[in-house]
Amino acid sequence: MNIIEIKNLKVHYPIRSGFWNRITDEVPAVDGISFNIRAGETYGLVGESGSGKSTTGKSVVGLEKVTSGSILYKGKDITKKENRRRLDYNRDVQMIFQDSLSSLNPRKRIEDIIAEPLRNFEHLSKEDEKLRVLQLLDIVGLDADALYKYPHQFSGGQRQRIGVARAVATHPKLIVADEPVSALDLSVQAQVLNFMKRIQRDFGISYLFISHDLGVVRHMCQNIAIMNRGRLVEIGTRDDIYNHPLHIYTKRLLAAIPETNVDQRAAHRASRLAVEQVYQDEQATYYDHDGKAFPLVAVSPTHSVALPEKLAQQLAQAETKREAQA
Amino acid sequence: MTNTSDFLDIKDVSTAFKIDGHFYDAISHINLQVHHDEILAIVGESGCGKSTLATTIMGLHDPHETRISGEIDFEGTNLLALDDAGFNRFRGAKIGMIFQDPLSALNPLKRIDDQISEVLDYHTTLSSDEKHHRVLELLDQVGIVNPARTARQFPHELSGGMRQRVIIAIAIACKPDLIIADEPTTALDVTIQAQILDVLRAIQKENHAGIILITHDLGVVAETADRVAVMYAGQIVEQGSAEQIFNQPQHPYTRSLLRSMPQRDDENDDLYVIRGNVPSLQKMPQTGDRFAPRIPWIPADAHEAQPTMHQVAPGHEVRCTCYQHFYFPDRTTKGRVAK
Amino acid sequence: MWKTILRRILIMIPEVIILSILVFLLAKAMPGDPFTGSINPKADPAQIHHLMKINGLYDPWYQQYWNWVVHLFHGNLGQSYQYQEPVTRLIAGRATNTLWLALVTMVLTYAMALPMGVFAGRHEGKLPDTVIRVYTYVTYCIPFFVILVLGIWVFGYVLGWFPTTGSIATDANGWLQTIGSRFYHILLPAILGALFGTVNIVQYLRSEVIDAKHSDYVRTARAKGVPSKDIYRHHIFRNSLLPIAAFAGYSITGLLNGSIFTETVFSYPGMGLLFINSISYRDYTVITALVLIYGILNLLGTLLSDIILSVVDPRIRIE
Repeated sequence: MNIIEIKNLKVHYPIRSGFWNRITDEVPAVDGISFNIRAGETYGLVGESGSGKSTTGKSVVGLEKVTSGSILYKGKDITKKENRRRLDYNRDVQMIFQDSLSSLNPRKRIEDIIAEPLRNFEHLSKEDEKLRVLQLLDIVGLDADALYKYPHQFSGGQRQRIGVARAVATHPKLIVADEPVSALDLSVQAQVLNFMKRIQRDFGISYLFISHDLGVVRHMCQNIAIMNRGRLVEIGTRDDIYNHPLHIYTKRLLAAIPETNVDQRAAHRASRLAVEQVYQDEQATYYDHDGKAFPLVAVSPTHSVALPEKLAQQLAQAETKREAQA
Repeated sequence: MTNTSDFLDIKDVSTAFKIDGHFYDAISHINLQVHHDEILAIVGESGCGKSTLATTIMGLHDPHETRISGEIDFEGTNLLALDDAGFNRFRGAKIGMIFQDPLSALNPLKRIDDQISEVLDYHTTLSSDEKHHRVLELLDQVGIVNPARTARQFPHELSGGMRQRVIIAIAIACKPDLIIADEPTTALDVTIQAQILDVLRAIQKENHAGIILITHDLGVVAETADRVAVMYAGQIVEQGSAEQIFNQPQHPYTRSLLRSMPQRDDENDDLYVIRGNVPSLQKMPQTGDRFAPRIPWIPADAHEAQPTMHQVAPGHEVRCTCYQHFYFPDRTTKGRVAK
Repeated sequence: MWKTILRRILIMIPEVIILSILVFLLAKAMPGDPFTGSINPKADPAQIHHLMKINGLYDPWYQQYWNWVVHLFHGNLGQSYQYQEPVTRLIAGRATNTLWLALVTMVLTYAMALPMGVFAGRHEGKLPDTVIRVYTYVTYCIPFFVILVLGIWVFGYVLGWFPTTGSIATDANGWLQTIGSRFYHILLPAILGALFGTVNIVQYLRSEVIDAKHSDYVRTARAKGVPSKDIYRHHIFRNSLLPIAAFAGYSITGLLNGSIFTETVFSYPGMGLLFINSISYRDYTVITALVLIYGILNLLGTLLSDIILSVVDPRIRIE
């Protein structure tokens, strides 16, 4: 069952110029993307800076003015404000941000920060509210004395956990996590990712996990979409994307992930440079004449790639053959 | 120029910061050598002192707010004995530095060519024509496609990757023997990161420079470094060749760190989490093993009272004896494990 | 860029219209009229009534406003009731005085503020910084008119160094004497105005210098081996003076507001003093004209700031 269905979503930012400051052009930050998030899964949205992944995330939460297309939740298009209100959408869908310091109000205590969504949606008595906040702190592994502290008194990892606690306060169905661990150290990152997984297991939450870090995405996500210049170039399961990538852009991203295998260093580098060469040389094959990705074509029930039909099938067959040989 | 000579010898260096009137060690008793023609990675998490070490070598600390002891022998000169004017003969000329955030590291109001030729102004006697020529040559060397155009641009007109290339061009303008790169790719996309690391490697080969690469990213280290020093809480806890560190890690911290990375084959497991937190500078214990509180299941007598470095293989050193007794609580294998 | 400037000026038109209506209404809302007590305390109420009538003061406000606008486009701001003189000529005479006062004040302000701000920022936390900060706090705490009254008392009456009233000595002859005398009259109010005006600039500049000192690009410059004094010259000063340069436009507003106090205390015949007098005499034509001029100057000041900023900062480009 899909919790969210995104259909041909477009977010274009206007460029104003000229004497009357009229809209003369548009930047297509998100340029017609479609994908579905199933209930209880973690869906990975991967792309480099400027790919439009954060804009997509904000559109799903309702923080972005959508140009066209729809985002269906319980069969209703939540790009319309009245539908969001009617469905209590902002209670069911929450967000975790990358920068935990600037996304938490520095002048509010942790108690007030976590209770804020509760106050907006649940109208609990003072005691019940406090009890809930304490429960939430417990879920993310923070002590009760955190209640009366301010955000700057916590480390980055603790603040990110506070952000998680705030996001889960209203028992949301979906959490949009925009680069939730990018600013964290490795050991702290592990802690936050574990919390996110545990909360998912306990509460059946779905995540839209937005990240540029393919290593983290592989760990967290069952299904993944790769975004490039406002469009999706490839979607598929974890296995599809990591073991059978078809689009050159996906291959290029994967090849650029640093490997911890020191012995394979030279080989890894050679393969990265080889992929980069193909990427540079064959732009015309993989992108249309405007330099944009083609529409997605399904090569298997789970796996789609943005290529002309014939080429997509050809590549998919070659990949199947390669795997059979291996 | 011999390839194996230590041209940078850091001897027992400590740097203390003044906090509320007291001095606290951010790095303590660091011993480290850098050779020509190598990339030495210093890896550790935020607050471990890796950047402090870099800025100490560069002499960038305010002498009123810091207290530095020890000796940094650079090609026969003790850098720590120099005054600011003396240091300026080395900075930019023989030691170049690359910074993390390429946008804020460039002056927003100056054109790229002015910012690069500024370093030539102070360390060369080139004419302004020659300087201009050198600037274009440098921009070309760091892989900028249209040097003449980029030279006349302002930092905000460039992409993040191009800005970092400009920073590298500044650092290598005078062909320094030592380049210190402090998190040079942290602010960049992975594909750009790979390109920047390629540029660094190429420059190191071309100039026979020694590079100190400071990073928190183990992947970057594994791809780039010849040797690795792992830092925890202001100390070096392990150092060795990249192969030694990644294939036979010894220190509990190194092993824990490697295990907390998301791996290919444990997608459905929880990640390994190191217990507890790094103590703040003010609360740093002055005796005993600083990592001991984070591995409480290891008996106290496994640690040394005053941990020292122990050689486990040629060029491979580990702090404290606890590595011999370390095991992960969720795994039964004790002692050293080969990967 | 010229397009943008032109557009900004066009946007000012509705702003000015709204401003003028507001001013007009406020002036009308004030109790009293321009004639009672000003012609002859024993004047016949019927005569005042007659004067009000022929001057159109009983017409509905929009009609009066409309008449005023029509005249405005003929370059006629009306006749001052108080001075019996065309408002245009009246203000023109006063404006030059205010202009000179403002100019000297501005030059003195920047001449004092820039070195102080830079010096305080450079020696942050040390003695000179503390002294300058105490100075700014003290000046900031004292209301402007108190500074003025204190200044006029100490330097004008007690020490007798400066004249305390007027814009020129009555016996000044020849152009050299005239200019000298004017400048002499301006100096004390200008110094006092500058003392007050420096506070914001000093504090702003100081914190800009401190920010710049700890910025990454300064660290880069240090890593290049640039000596400290050159870093200050090429990087820190330049970058921290930039927002101050943009401030210049806005400071017009401050100077105009200040002139109202200064000119009143010093009986200096400028626009500020004229303004205060017109209000007390309900000299509507003068009030509305002055507020309109003040409003337009403020808007121009803002525009000027934006233009300066776009000229000095490459990151901001008005296309």
